[in-house]
Amino acid sequence: MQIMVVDDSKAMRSIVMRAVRQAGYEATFVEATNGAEALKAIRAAPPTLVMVDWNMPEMNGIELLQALRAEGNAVKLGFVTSESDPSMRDLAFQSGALFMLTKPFTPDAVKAALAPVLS
Amino acid sequence: MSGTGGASAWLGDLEAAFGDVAQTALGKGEMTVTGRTALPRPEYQGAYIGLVSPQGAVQIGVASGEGGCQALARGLLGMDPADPPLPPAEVADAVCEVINIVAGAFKARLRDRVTSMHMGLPTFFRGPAQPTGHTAVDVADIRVGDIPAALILVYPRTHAEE
Repeated sequence: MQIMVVDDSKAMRSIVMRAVRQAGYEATFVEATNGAEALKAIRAAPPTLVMVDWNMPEMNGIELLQALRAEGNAVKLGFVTSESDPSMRDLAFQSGALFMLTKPFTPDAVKAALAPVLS
Repeated sequence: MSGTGGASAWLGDLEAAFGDVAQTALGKGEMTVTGRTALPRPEYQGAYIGLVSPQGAVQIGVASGEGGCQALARGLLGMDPADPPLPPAEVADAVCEVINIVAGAFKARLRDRVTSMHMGLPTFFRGPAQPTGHTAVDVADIRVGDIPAALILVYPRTHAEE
């Protein structure tokens, strides 16, 4: 299983990868620092799951998701973000996101988000 | 800023949001507000993030000394005391992420008073914010665990004068 973690913060990418391991998943990780970089990498080699921040430079998370779906790419994708507005959650799920994990997250929240997606 | 209580009233929301994050993401236990001032200490460094809504634009920040920022970064990363110091670039990155998380909690606290608030991207700084003729700065001096720090709210002066 390969998981792509997309966040402009190196610290947060590290925290997300550690949280996934602590949730009990054995995965290899690919990192990207913004949506545009992730889009190129996903086109070249789609991972099992993309865990993406919302607010990033160049291309943000929702723009990445919408770009993927517009070109027919159905890669599994969920948000890991400090955003929790209901309108943004609605937009994320309507656009095809599988979960929206709000920072700061607990180990239980990570398990709850990933279990239905990776089972 | 009608109906929102005014941006100057949001410093309490910022304190509460940071307090939540200190206990969860930073693992630092309870945060204490030790005072309120108009400017953070000049030797402080930290991170700001902008928040824009139809009711106005503000910036929020968290600042501390070099050692305090190192401690905040290490707290976020869950590092062991025996781990070597983080290089300055990684401290800056982590403290930016701290204020990003705080901004999310701050937005959530204001949700019933402020509609459609959009977050920008955080930036790291050294030294205090300088208020201009158009802006005002409110600062809460805090202690989080054993770290002295400051929470900063920069807001349009027109709102401050409401």
